[in-house]
Amino acid sequence: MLFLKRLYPLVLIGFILYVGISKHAFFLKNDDPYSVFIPEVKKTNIHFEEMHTQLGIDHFNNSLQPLSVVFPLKINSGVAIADLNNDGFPDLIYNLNFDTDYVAVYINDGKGHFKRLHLPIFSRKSIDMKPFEYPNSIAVFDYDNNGTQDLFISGFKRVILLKNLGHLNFSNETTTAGLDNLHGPFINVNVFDFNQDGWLDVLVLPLSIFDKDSDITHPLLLLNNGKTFVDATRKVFNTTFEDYTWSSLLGYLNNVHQKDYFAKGIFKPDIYIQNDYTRSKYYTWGFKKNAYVERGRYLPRSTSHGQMGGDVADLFNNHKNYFFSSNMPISKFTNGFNYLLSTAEENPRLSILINEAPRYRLDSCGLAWGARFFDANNDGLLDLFVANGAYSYGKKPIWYKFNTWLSIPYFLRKGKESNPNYSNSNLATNQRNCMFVQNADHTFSDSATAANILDLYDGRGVAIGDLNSDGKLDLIIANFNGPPLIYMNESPTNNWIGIKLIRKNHVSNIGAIYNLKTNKFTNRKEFFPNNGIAAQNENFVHFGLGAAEPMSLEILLPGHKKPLVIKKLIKNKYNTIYEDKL
Amino acid sequence: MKINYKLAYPLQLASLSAYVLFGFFNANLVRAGLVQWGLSVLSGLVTTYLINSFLKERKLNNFSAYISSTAVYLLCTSLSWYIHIIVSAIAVFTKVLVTNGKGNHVFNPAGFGMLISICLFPTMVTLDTMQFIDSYELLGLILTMGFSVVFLSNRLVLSLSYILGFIIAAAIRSYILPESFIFFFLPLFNPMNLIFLFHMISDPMTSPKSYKGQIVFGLSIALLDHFLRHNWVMFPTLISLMIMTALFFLYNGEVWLKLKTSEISA
Repeated sequence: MLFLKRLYPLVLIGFILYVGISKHAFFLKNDDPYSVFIPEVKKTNIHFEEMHTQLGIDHFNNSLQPLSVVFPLKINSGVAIADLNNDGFPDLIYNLNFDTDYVAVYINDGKGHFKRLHLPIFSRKSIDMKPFEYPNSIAVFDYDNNGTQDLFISGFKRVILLKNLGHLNFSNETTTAGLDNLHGPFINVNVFDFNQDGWLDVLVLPLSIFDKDSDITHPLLLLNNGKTFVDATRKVFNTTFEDYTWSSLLGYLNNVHQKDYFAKGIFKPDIYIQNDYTRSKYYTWGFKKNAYVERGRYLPRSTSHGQMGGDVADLFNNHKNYFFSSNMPISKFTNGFNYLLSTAEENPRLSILINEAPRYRLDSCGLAWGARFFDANNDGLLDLFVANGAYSYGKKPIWYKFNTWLSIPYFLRKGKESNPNYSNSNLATNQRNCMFVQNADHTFSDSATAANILDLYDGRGVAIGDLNSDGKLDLIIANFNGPPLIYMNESPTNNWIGIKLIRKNHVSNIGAIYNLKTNKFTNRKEFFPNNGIAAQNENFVHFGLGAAEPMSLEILLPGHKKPLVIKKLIKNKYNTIYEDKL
Repeated sequence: MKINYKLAYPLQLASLSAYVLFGFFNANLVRAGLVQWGLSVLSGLVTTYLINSFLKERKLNNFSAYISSTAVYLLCTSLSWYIHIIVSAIAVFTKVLVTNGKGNHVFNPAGFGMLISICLFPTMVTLDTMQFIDSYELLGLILTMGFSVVFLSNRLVLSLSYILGFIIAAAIRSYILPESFIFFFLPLFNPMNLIFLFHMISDPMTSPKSYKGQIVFGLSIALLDHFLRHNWVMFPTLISLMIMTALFFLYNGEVWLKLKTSEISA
């Protein structure tokens, strides 16, 4: 009897463990816990056709070489849409990993086809790029306001600045611009005129875990004076930073507080710097301190891990910005899903961010990377595309040991010795993407398969453009170890309006706010084309109208106290607005 | 060495509280805020009160409930705000679920409560292994206070045996697998793992009193921990602790800590 009494706890534990095993509490149902397990709708009114080959995009981004530097969460798959030759047609620029070139430039011929531009300056040899080096992100902007779009490429070990001399000629101005002394694995670039002096500045984010030799472990804010870039991080940011940052999101999140400053011409967007290994941080401009300061409490630490990409939008046309943050779900090791953040308080001192992704069913979508808000069907409601997949390479799933490695304190796991062996392994393999279509009740339904978005590549950078100028927004995706994909939007026609703003003296419109008023609703867009990870949208602002008629457009420009007001708008057309003619 | 109750018990209580507060203000522990901590503790206290109302022969300790509830708050994570309330209540309830001949609970209540909750609600609750991994200050705090607690509780030998066992198992795995020793060894420093070690594995109420027993207990938990990790089992430290506790109780069913009822209530 005594023995039975002693046996009781063991039997009880055995029973509890049996229940747990039967409920898959200790193991995961399949080898890939990051699977996209959300239900999809079977019918949708949006449709895409993948046409990269037909359009002439013919390269393959070989990301798996050299194997000595393969890491399951490499980027090296950036894409930017920009008009490099000022012919009015958008060109495409991609990062390349293991190739003779480090960047692939495709010029749009205006007839629905792209042709690759091979220049010696794009070759790895021209900049003595070693086999283990690779680029991660591209930003295309006019750094010297000469009317041509220049290339700013961030990557492993360095940044590269290629000045556009016009007529598709480029020169390497990295040294001249003071950028050659930056040594670090740089992940992402965001662009904005932070000090409102008329020259676009860059926010470059490092991920030093990829390079133990790196001496840069914090984001860099480089102020541009039209010739050189100067590190002004400590001057502009009055706070501490975290390492392992992946991308940044700029947006005027605290609209109610900031509109007083807009009237004074002061435009200081909030900055959400996403982090994959430590905590993400949210910064707002402290007017008294004249610097960016970290604000308030954001997400719980355990739910903020793994944020990589994202986007910002006034998602529900209520003049309230939402930050979508794509994440790496780490089921069982912690709770981590995609987030939809907004400020819960209008008081900027509190600036508490709350996550509403579960409420709108945007929280679960695989191991997510690039994400873009856009109106896929021009019904006036913003939809959301999310690119998924991590590392579809070998046969052995590595989720368990990868997450075990992630649970080691980050300051202890610097250096390759603590890394697990990733050979012949996969992580979040062959995942489909998500195409969340917004319903009238503001919930979202995943419609990827129904919309014919069927690829299973490991997506990274996602850019939005209108490559054939038909008013229907297309998806341009850069994949890790895969071909770049172009999903042309073939959805049924609906009303829309496009705005292309040409400013005086070639000044950029990045950071501008567009308020469209229609007879049915008002819609607000902010132009930050480099938000998120490794992608840059085309230079225009697009509004889906549905059945509405555009009535007026107000454009708030950084540095300007009074907005531009345009009352003559033509729907179903790109309206080109010249600032100097208003 | 005997357990210094005057210091060990309050230090146990203070340690967990310090982790929460330091974590909240310095290391970005939020969960749903300190309110969630309060709810978790309240749940434990209410459960204690209800059990004490029905049980005549044994009274549960409120401070013990506080310790268990705080440990649950620190270690469990969920997207549902009410989970900590449920898990804390279950943790306290387990004190009367499995007892030895002296009426003392056999399993560490927080650990047992978390295991039951994970098994019953696998999609709603999990143990957070990513918490605090970016704060070396908090790691230092856990190590300092943790070692102090086990020293005063006369469980330092147990803790060191676990650490030794962890290192041995890491060395064995690195020898037979194509991974570095560092990769198998560093998870020992996961802050949540250390909280397990110092406040659950080394719980004086549910661990062997003799040094020999502590050595075997600590080594065996560590070895089983690594065995489970090798087979991709989630929550390996928690499961190892529960299994080894049950096996040791089977081997030696005497109460490890001979206490009178009045001492338990103190």
